[in-house]
Amino acid sequence: MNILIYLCILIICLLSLYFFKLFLSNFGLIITMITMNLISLILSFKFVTLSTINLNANTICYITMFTSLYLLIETMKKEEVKKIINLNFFITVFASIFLFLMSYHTESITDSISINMKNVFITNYRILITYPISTLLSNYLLVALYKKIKSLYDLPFITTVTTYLVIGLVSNLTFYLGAYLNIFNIKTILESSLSTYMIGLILTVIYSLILPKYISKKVVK
Amino acid sequence: MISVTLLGIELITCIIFILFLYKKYTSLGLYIYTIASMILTCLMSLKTITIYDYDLNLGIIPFVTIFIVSNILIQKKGPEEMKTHLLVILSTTILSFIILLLVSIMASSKIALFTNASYDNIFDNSIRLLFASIVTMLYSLILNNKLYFYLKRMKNNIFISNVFSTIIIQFIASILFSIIAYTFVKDTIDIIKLIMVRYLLSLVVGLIGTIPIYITKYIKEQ
Repeated sequence: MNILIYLCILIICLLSLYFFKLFLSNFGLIITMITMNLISLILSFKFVTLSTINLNANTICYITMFTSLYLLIETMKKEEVKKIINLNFFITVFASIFLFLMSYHTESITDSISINMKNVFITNYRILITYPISTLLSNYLLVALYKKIKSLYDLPFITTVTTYLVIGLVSNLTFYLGAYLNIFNIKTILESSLSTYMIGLILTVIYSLILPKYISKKVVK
Repeated sequence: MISVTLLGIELITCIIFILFLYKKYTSLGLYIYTIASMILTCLMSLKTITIYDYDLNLGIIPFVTIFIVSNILIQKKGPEEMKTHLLVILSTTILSFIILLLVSIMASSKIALFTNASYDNIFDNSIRLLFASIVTMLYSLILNNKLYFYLKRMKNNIFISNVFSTIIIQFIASILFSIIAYTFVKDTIDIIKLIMVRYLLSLVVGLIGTIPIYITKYIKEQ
Protein backbone atom coordinates (compact mmCIF):
# COMPACT_ATOMS: atom_id res chain seq x y z
CA MET A 1 0.00 0.00 0.00
CA ASN A 2 2.76 2.47 0.99
CA ILE A 3 4.65 1.78 -2.24
CA LEU A 4 1.50 2.46 -4.27
CA ILE A 5 0.88 5.78 -2.52
CA TYR A 6 4.55 6.68 -2.97
CA LEU A 7 4.27 5.96 -6.70
CA CYS A 8 1.13 8.12 -6.85
CA ILE A 9 2.99 11.01 -5.19
CA LEU A 10 5.88 10.55 -7.63
CA ILE A 11 3.51 10.72 -10.62
CA ILE A 12 1.79 13.82 -9.18
CA CYS A 13 5.16 15.53 -8.70
CA LEU A 14 6.34 14.59 -12.21
CA LEU A 15 3.13 15.87 -13.76
CA SER A 16 3.10 19.09 -11.77
CA LEU A 17 6.70 19.82 -12.79
CA TYR A 18 5.83 19.06 -16.40
CA PHE A 19 2.70 21.23 -16.56
CA PHE A 20 4.15 24.16 -14.63
CA LYS A 21 7.16 24.17 -16.99
CA LEU A 22 4.90 23.78 -20.01
CA PHE A 23 2.53 26.64 -19.19
CA LEU A 24 4.63 29.05 -17.16
CA SER A 25 8.21 28.30 -18.25
CA ASN A 26 10.86 29.51 -15.74
CA PHE A 27 8.22 31.12 -13.56
CA GLY A 28 6.50 27.74 -13.34
CA LEU A 29 9.78 26.08 -12.35
CA ILE A 30 10.30 28.63 -9.57
CA ILE A 31 6.75 28.01 -8.33
CA THR A 32 7.27 24.24 -8.41
CA MET A 33 10.57 24.54 -6.58
CA ILE A 34 9.18 26.68 -3.78
CA THR A 35 5.90 24.77 -3.42
CA MET A 36 7.81 21.47 -3.23
CA ASN A 37 10.13 23.01 -0.65
CA LEU A 38 7.19 24.10 1.52
CA ILE A 39 5.50 20.69 1.28
CA SER A 40 8.86 19.11 2.02
CA LEU A 41 9.22 21.20 5.18
CA ILE A 42 5.85 19.99 6.51
CA LEU A 43 6.51 16.38 5.48
CA SER A 44 9.98 16.31 7.03
CA PHE A 45 8.37 15.63 10.42
CA LYS A 46 7.10 12.20 9.38
CA PHE A 47 8.92 8.92 8.76
CA VAL A 48 7.37 6.26 6.52
CA THR A 49 8.34 2.74 5.56
CA LEU A 50 8.79 1.39 2.06
CA SER A 51 8.81 -2.37 2.44
CA THR A 52 11.44 -2.58 5.22
CA ILE A 53 13.19 0.73 4.56
CA ASN A 54 12.58 3.67 6.93
CA LEU A 55 12.81 7.04 5.26
CA ASN A 56 11.71 10.62 5.60
CA ALA A 57 8.34 11.28 3.96
CA ASN A 58 9.61 14.37 2.14
CA THR A 59 12.07 12.55 -0.18
CA ILE A 60 10.05 12.81 -3.41
CA CYS A 61 9.22 16.49 -2.92
CA TYR A 62 12.81 17.26 -1.97
CA ILE A 63 14.12 15.58 -5.12
CA THR A 64 11.48 17.38 -7.23
CA MET A 65 12.76 20.65 -5.76
CA PHE A 66 16.32 19.72 -6.82
CA THR A 67 15.09 18.79 -10.32
CA SER A 68 13.39 22.19 -10.72
CA LEU A 69 16.67 23.75 -9.68
CA TYR A 70 18.62 21.72 -12.30
CA LEU A 71 16.17 22.95 -14.93
CA LEU A 72 16.49 26.54 -13.71
CA ILE A 73 20.29 26.35 -13.91
CA GLU A 74 19.96 25.20 -17.53
CA THR A 75 17.95 28.28 -18.50
CA MET A 76 18.96 31.05 -16.11
CA LYS A 77 22.15 32.87 -15.14
CA LYS A 78 24.01 31.76 -12.01
CA GLU A 79 23.28 35.04 -10.16
CA GLU A 80 19.56 34.78 -10.91
CA VAL A 81 19.47 31.18 -9.66
CA LYS A 82 21.21 32.26 -6.46
CA LYS A 83 18.55 34.93 -5.98
CA ILE A 84 15.86 32.25 -6.31
CA ILE A 85 17.68 30.06 -3.78
CA ASN A 86 17.70 32.97 -1.33
CA LEU A 87 13.98 33.51 -1.95
CA ASN A 88 13.43 29.81 -1.26
CA PHE A 89 15.30 30.20 2.02
CA PHE A 90 13.37 33.31 3.12
CA ILE A 91 10.02 31.67 2.44
CA THR A 92 11.05 28.54 4.37
CA VAL A 93 11.99 30.72 7.33
CA PHE A 94 8.61 32.47 7.05
CA ALA A 95 6.78 29.13 7.02
CA SER A 96 8.86 27.82 9.94
CA ILE A 97 8.01 30.89 12.03
CA PHE A 98 4.31 30.41 11.31
CA LEU A 99 4.35 26.66 12.01
CA PHE A 100 5.91 27.42 15.39
CA LEU A 101 3.51 30.28 16.19
CA MET A 102 0.53 28.18 15.08
CA SER A 103 1.41 25.43 17.54
CA TYR A 104 2.17 27.92 20.31
CA HIS A 105 -1.35 29.44 20.36
CA THR A 106 -3.51 28.39 23.32
CA GLU A 107 -6.26 26.22 21.88
CA SER A 108 -10.01 26.51 22.53
CA ILE A 109 -11.74 23.96 24.75
CA THR A 110 -13.36 22.23 21.77
CA ASP A 111 -10.10 21.91 19.80
CA SER A 112 -8.63 18.42 19.44
CA ILE A 113 -5.92 19.04 16.86
CA SER A 114 -3.77 21.46 18.85
CA ILE A 115 -2.15 18.75 20.97
CA ASN A 116 -1.05 16.96 17.79
CA MET A 117 0.36 20.18 16.35
CA LYS A 118 2.35 20.71 19.56
CA ASN A 119 3.66 17.14 19.38
CA VAL A 120 4.78 17.64 15.81
CA PHE A 121 5.98 21.22 15.52
CA ILE A 122 6.99 22.22 19.06
CA THR A 123 8.54 18.92 20.20
CA ASN A 124 10.55 18.78 16.97
CA TYR A 125 11.37 22.50 16.85
CA ARG A 126 14.92 21.61 15.80
CA ILE A 127 13.63 20.54 12.38
CA LEU A 128 12.19 24.04 11.90
CA ILE A 129 15.70 25.44 12.35
CA THR A 130 17.72 22.70 10.63
CA TYR A 131 15.56 22.27 7.54
CA PRO A 132 15.98 25.83 6.10
CA ILE A 133 19.73 25.74 6.78
CA SER A 134 20.33 22.32 5.20
CA THR A 135 18.20 23.28 2.18
CA LEU A 136 20.08 26.54 1.67
CA LEU A 137 23.41 24.76 1.99
CA SER A 138 22.50 21.96 -0.42
CA ASN A 139 21.00 24.37 -2.98
CA TYR A 140 24.14 26.51 -3.07
CA LEU A 141 26.31 23.41 -3.31
CA LEU A 142 24.09 22.10 -6.09
CA VAL A 143 24.58 25.23 -8.22
CA ALA A 144 28.34 25.19 -7.78
CA LEU A 145 28.73 21.45 -8.44
CA TYR A 146 26.27 21.22 -11.32
CA LYS A 147 28.09 23.96 -13.24
CA LYS A 148 31.49 22.33 -12.59
CA ILE A 149 30.38 18.82 -13.61
CA LYS A 150 28.53 20.19 -16.63
CA SER A 151 31.72 21.80 -17.89
CA LEU A 152 33.37 18.37 -17.74
CA TYR A 153 30.55 16.12 -19.03
CA ASP A 154 27.66 17.83 -20.76
CA LEU A 155 25.15 15.02 -20.27
CA PRO A 156 22.05 15.69 -18.11
CA PHE A 157 22.02 12.14 -16.70
CA ILE A 158 25.65 12.17 -15.55
CA THR A 159 25.53 15.75 -14.28
CA THR A 160 22.39 15.35 -12.18
CA VAL A 161 23.24 11.96 -10.72
CA THR A 162 26.83 12.92 -9.88
CA THR A 163 25.66 16.19 -8.33
CA TYR A 164 23.11 14.33 -6.21
CA LEU A 165 25.76 11.86 -5.00
CA VAL A 166 27.44 14.76 -3.20
CA ILE A 167 24.61 17.13 -2.30
CA GLY A 168 22.26 14.34 -1.20
CA LEU A 169 24.84 13.14 1.29
CA VAL A 170 25.57 16.64 2.58
CA SER A 171 21.91 17.67 2.92
CA ASN A 172 20.80 14.39 4.54
CA LEU A 173 23.64 14.32 7.05
CA THR A 174 23.21 18.01 7.93
CA PHE A 175 19.48 17.60 8.35
CA TYR A 176 19.53 14.36 10.34
CA LEU A 177 22.41 15.34 12.60
CA GLY A 178 20.96 18.80 13.24
CA ALA A 179 17.43 17.56 13.85
CA TYR A 180 17.94 14.27 15.68
CA LEU A 181 21.37 14.28 17.39
CA ASN A 182 20.88 13.35 21.08
CA ILE A 183 17.26 12.40 20.31
CA PHE A 184 17.93 9.16 18.40
CA ASN A 185 21.10 7.12 18.67
CA ILE A 186 23.79 7.57 16.01
CA LYS A 187 23.02 4.18 14.43
CA THR A 188 19.37 5.10 13.80
CA ILE A 189 20.36 8.53 12.46
CA LEU A 190 22.90 7.03 10.04
CA GLU A 191 20.56 4.24 8.95
CA SER A 192 17.61 6.51 8.23
CA SER A 193 19.73 9.20 6.55
CA LEU A 194 21.41 6.63 4.30
CA SER A 195 18.11 4.98 3.35
CA THR A 196 16.61 8.41 2.54
CA TYR A 197 19.76 9.12 0.52
CA MET A 198 19.48 5.84 -1.43
CA ILE A 199 15.79 6.33 -2.28
CA GLY A 200 16.67 9.91 -3.27
CA LEU A 201 19.32 8.53 -5.60
CA ILE A 202 16.81 6.21 -7.29
CA LEU A 203 14.38 9.12 -7.69
CA THR A 204 17.16 11.30 -9.14
CA VAL A 205 17.93 8.59 -11.70
CA ILE A 206 14.24 8.47 -12.69
CA TYR A 207 14.09 12.26 -12.99
CA SER A 208 17.39 12.35 -14.91
CA LEU A 209 16.02 9.98 -17.55
CA ILE A 210 13.06 12.28 -18.11
CA LEU A 211 15.01 15.53 -17.76
CA PRO A 212 16.02 15.92 -21.45
CA LYS A 213 12.33 15.80 -22.41
CA TYR A 214 11.54 18.56 -19.91
CA ILE A 215 14.38 20.72 -21.24
CA SER A 216 13.32 20.34 -24.88
CA LYS A 217 9.62 21.13 -24.21
CA LYS A 218 8.47 24.48 -25.57
CA VAL A 219 6.21 26.78 -23.56
CA VAL A 220 2.51 26.84 -24.49
CA LYS A 221 1.10 30.36 -24.76
CA MET B 1 -4.30 37.72 25.86
CA ILE B 2 -1.44 35.48 24.67
CA SER B 3 -3.43 34.66 21.53
CA VAL B 4 -3.96 38.37 20.74
CA THR B 5 -0.24 39.03 21.19
CA LEU B 6 0.64 36.09 18.93
CA LEU B 7 -1.83 37.30 16.31
CA GLY B 8 -0.12 40.72 16.50
CA ILE B 9 3.29 39.07 15.98
CA GLU B 10 1.86 37.11 13.02
CA LEU B 11 0.55 40.33 11.45
CA ILE B 12 3.83 42.19 11.88
CA THR B 13 5.77 39.21 10.47
CA CYS B 14 3.46 39.09 7.44
CA ILE B 15 3.76 42.82 6.72
CA ILE B 16 7.55 42.74 7.08
CA PHE B 17 7.78 39.75 4.69
CA ILE B 18 5.43 41.33 2.13
CA LEU B 19 7.48 44.53 2.03
CA PHE B 20 10.81 42.71 2.09
CA LEU B 21 9.85 40.27 -0.68
CA TYR B 22 8.37 43.05 -2.80
CA LYS B 23 11.46 45.20 -2.41
CA LYS B 24 13.84 42.34 -3.28
CA TYR B 25 11.83 40.32 -5.80
CA THR B 26 8.92 42.59 -6.88
CA SER B 27 5.87 40.65 -8.14
CA LEU B 28 7.67 37.25 -8.03
CA GLY B 29 8.16 37.74 -4.30
CA LEU B 30 4.45 38.51 -3.88
CA TYR B 31 3.44 35.40 -5.83
CA ILE B 32 5.67 33.22 -3.68
CA TYR B 33 4.37 34.90 -0.52
CA THR B 34 0.81 34.08 -1.64
CA ILE B 35 1.65 30.40 -2.18
CA ALA B 36 3.22 30.10 1.28
CA SER B 37 0.39 32.01 2.94
CA MET B 38 -2.29 29.90 1.29
CA ILE B 39 -0.69 26.63 2.40
CA LEU B 40 -0.29 28.02 5.92
CA THR B 41 -3.86 29.38 5.97
CA CYS B 42 -5.29 25.95 5.15
CA LEU B 43 -3.09 24.21 7.70
CA MET B 44 -3.71 26.77 10.44
CA SER B 45 -7.48 26.79 9.89
CA LEU B 46 -7.58 23.26 11.35
CA LYS B 47 -6.87 24.72 14.80
CA THR B 48 -9.31 26.82 16.84
CA ILE B 49 -8.36 29.35 19.50
CA THR B 50 -10.37 31.44 21.94
CA ILE B 51 -10.29 35.23 21.87
CA TYR B 52 -12.27 37.03 24.58
CA ASP B 53 -14.52 33.94 25.04
CA TYR B 54 -15.18 33.55 21.33
CA ASP B 55 -13.90 30.59 19.30
CA LEU B 56 -12.07 31.34 16.09
CA ASN B 57 -10.13 29.37 13.47
CA LEU B 58 -6.47 30.29 13.15
CA GLY B 59 -4.95 31.28 9.84
CA ILE B 60 -6.91 34.49 9.52
CA ILE B 61 -3.80 36.70 9.37
CA PRO B 62 -2.14 34.96 6.37
CA PHE B 63 -5.63 34.68 4.83
CA VAL B 64 -6.30 38.44 4.89
CA THR B 65 -2.75 39.33 3.88
CA ILE B 66 -3.32 37.41 0.62
CA PHE B 67 -5.98 40.03 -0.20
CA ILE B 68 -3.49 42.79 0.61
CA VAL B 69 -0.95 41.19 -1.75
CA SER B 70 -3.65 40.81 -4.38
CA ASN B 71 -4.51 44.52 -4.07
CA ILE B 72 -0.84 45.44 -4.44
CA LEU B 73 -0.65 43.33 -7.61
CA ILE B 74 -3.78 44.99 -9.05
CA GLN B 75 -2.38 48.40 -8.14
CA LYS B 76 0.93 47.64 -9.87
CA LYS B 77 0.07 45.26 -12.70
CA GLY B 78 -3.64 45.58 -13.41
CA PRO B 79 -6.45 43.00 -13.41
CA GLU B 80 -4.99 40.83 -16.24
CA GLU B 81 -2.27 39.61 -13.90
CA MET B 82 -4.86 38.28 -11.47
CA LYS B 83 -5.87 35.32 -13.66
CA THR B 84 -2.36 33.89 -13.36
CA HIS B 85 -2.37 34.74 -9.66
CA LEU B 86 -5.61 32.81 -9.06
CA LEU B 87 -4.47 29.88 -11.18
CA VAL B 88 -1.19 29.65 -9.28
CA ILE B 89 -2.96 29.77 -5.90
CA LEU B 90 -5.48 27.11 -6.90
CA SER B 91 -2.99 24.69 -8.45
CA THR B 92 -0.33 24.94 -5.74
CA THR B 93 -2.82 24.62 -2.88
CA ILE B 94 -4.54 21.59 -4.36
CA LEU B 95 -1.18 20.01 -5.19
CA SER B 96 0.12 20.60 -1.66
CA PHE B 97 -2.87 19.18 0.13
CA ILE B 98 -3.20 16.14 -2.12
CA ILE B 99 0.40 15.24 -1.25
CA LEU B 100 0.01 16.06 2.46
CA LEU B 101 -3.19 14.00 2.74
CA LEU B 102 -1.68 11.08 0.79
CA VAL B 103 1.33 11.00 3.12
CA SER B 104 -0.94 11.13 6.17
CA ILE B 105 -2.59 7.85 5.10
CA MET B 106 0.77 6.11 4.58
CA ALA B 107 1.75 3.63 7.28
CA SER B 108 4.30 5.24 9.58
CA SER B 109 7.75 4.00 10.40
CA LYS B 110 8.68 2.83 13.90
CA ILE B 111 11.17 5.69 14.13
CA ALA B 112 9.57 8.69 15.92
CA LEU B 113 6.32 6.79 16.34
CA PHE B 114 4.74 9.44 18.57
CA THR B 115 5.42 12.30 16.13
CA ASN B 116 4.22 10.19 13.19
CA ALA B 117 0.92 9.40 14.93
CA SER B 118 0.42 13.07 15.83
CA TYR B 119 1.15 14.09 12.23
CA ASP B 120 -1.53 11.69 10.95
CA ASN B 121 -4.05 12.97 13.52
CA ILE B 122 -3.64 16.56 12.30
CA PHE B 123 -5.08 15.58 8.92
CA ASP B 124 -7.82 13.30 10.29
CA ASN B 125 -11.26 14.68 9.29
CA SER B 126 -9.62 17.80 7.89
CA ILE B 127 -11.00 17.67 4.34
CA ARG B 128 -14.08 19.79 5.05
CA LEU B 129 -12.07 22.60 6.67
CA LEU B 130 -9.46 22.50 3.90
CA PHE B 131 -12.21 22.62 1.29
CA ALA B 132 -13.85 25.55 3.10
CA SER B 133 -10.56 27.48 3.18
CA ILE B 134 -9.79 26.92 -0.50
CA VAL B 135 -13.31 27.71 -1.78
CA THR B 136 -13.62 30.80 0.44
CA MET B 137 -10.26 32.09 -0.68
CA LEU B 138 -10.88 31.62 -4.39
CA TYR B 139 -14.43 32.94 -4.45
CA SER B 140 -13.70 35.99 -2.31
CA LEU B 141 -10.45 36.71 -4.16
CA ILE B 142 -12.28 36.77 -7.50
CA LEU B 143 -14.86 39.17 -6.04
CA ASN B 144 -12.16 41.25 -4.37
CA ASN B 145 -10.22 41.65 -7.62
CA LYS B 146 -13.30 42.84 -9.46
CA LEU B 147 -14.41 45.20 -6.69
CA TYR B 148 -10.95 46.64 -6.04
CA PHE B 149 -10.38 47.30 -9.72
CA TYR B 150 -13.84 48.86 -10.07
CA LEU B 151 -13.21 51.17 -7.09
CA LYS B 152 -9.73 52.00 -8.42
CA ARG B 153 -11.24 53.00 -11.77
CA MET B 154 -14.00 55.04 -10.10
CA LYS B 155 -11.73 56.90 -7.72
CA ASN B 156 -8.02 56.25 -7.94
CA ASN B 157 -7.44 56.30 -4.18
CA ILE B 158 -5.71 53.39 -2.42
CA PHE B 159 -7.37 54.09 0.93
CA ILE B 160 -10.93 54.13 -0.46
CA SER B 161 -10.40 51.09 -2.70
CA ASN B 162 -8.83 49.01 0.07
CA VAL B 163 -11.23 50.02 2.85
CA PHE B 164 -14.42 49.46 0.86
CA SER B 165 -13.26 46.21 -0.71
CA THR B 166 -12.15 44.93 2.74
CA ILE B 167 -15.48 45.84 4.38
CA ILE B 168 -17.54 44.00 1.77
CA ILE B 169 -15.30 41.08 0.81
CA GLN B 170 -14.24 40.06 4.32
CA PHE B 171 -17.90 39.90 5.34
CA ILE B 172 -18.67 37.56 2.44
CA ALA B 173 -15.54 35.50 3.17
CA SER B 174 -16.43 35.13 6.87
CA ILE B 175 -19.95 33.97 6.08
CA LEU B 176 -18.79 31.58 3.37
CA PHE B 177 -16.07 29.96 5.44
CA SER B 178 -18.22 29.53 8.54
CA ILE B 179 -21.15 28.07 6.60
CA ILE B 180 -19.08 25.62 4.54
CA ALA B 181 -16.97 24.54 7.50
CA TYR B 182 -19.53 24.33 10.29
CA THR B 183 -23.10 23.82 8.98
CA PHE B 184 -24.63 20.82 10.80
CA VAL B 185 -21.55 20.71 13.04
CA LYS B 186 -22.12 23.77 15.24
CA ASP B 187 -25.30 25.50 16.44
CA THR B 188 -26.57 28.43 14.40
CA ILE B 189 -25.79 30.88 17.20
CA ASP B 190 -22.19 29.61 17.38
CA ILE B 191 -21.82 30.00 13.63
CA ILE B 192 -23.12 33.59 13.85
CA LYS B 193 -20.66 34.33 16.66
CA LEU B 194 -17.83 32.84 14.59
CA ILE B 195 -18.80 34.99 11.59
CA MET B 196 -18.84 38.14 13.73
CA VAL B 197 -15.47 37.54 15.40
CA ARG B 198 -13.86 36.44 12.15
CA TYR B 199 -15.22 39.50 10.35
CA LEU B 200 -14.05 41.93 13.03
CA LEU B 201 -10.53 40.51 13.06
CA SER B 202 -10.36 40.41 9.23
CA LEU B 203 -11.53 44.01 9.13
CA VAL B 204 -8.78 45.17 11.48
CA VAL B 205 -6.10 43.25 9.54
CA GLY B 206 -7.47 44.43 6.19
CA LEU B 207 -7.48 48.06 7.29
CA ILE B 208 -3.92 47.83 8.63
CA GLY B 209 -3.09 46.31 5.23
CA THR B 210 -3.57 49.73 3.65
CA ILE B 211 -0.15 50.71 5.07
CA PRO B 212 1.91 48.16 3.04
CA ILE B 213 -0.12 49.01 -0.09
CA TYR B 214 0.82 52.67 0.37
CA ILE B 215 4.46 51.82 1.09
CA THR B 216 4.80 49.63 -2.02
CA LYS B 217 3.61 52.61 -4.06
CA TYR B 218 6.93 54.27 -3.27
CA ILE B 219 9.08 51.19 -3.90
CA LYS B 220 10.32 51.30 -7.46
CA GLU B 221 10.40 48.05 -9.44
CA GLN B 222 13.84 47.11 -10.76
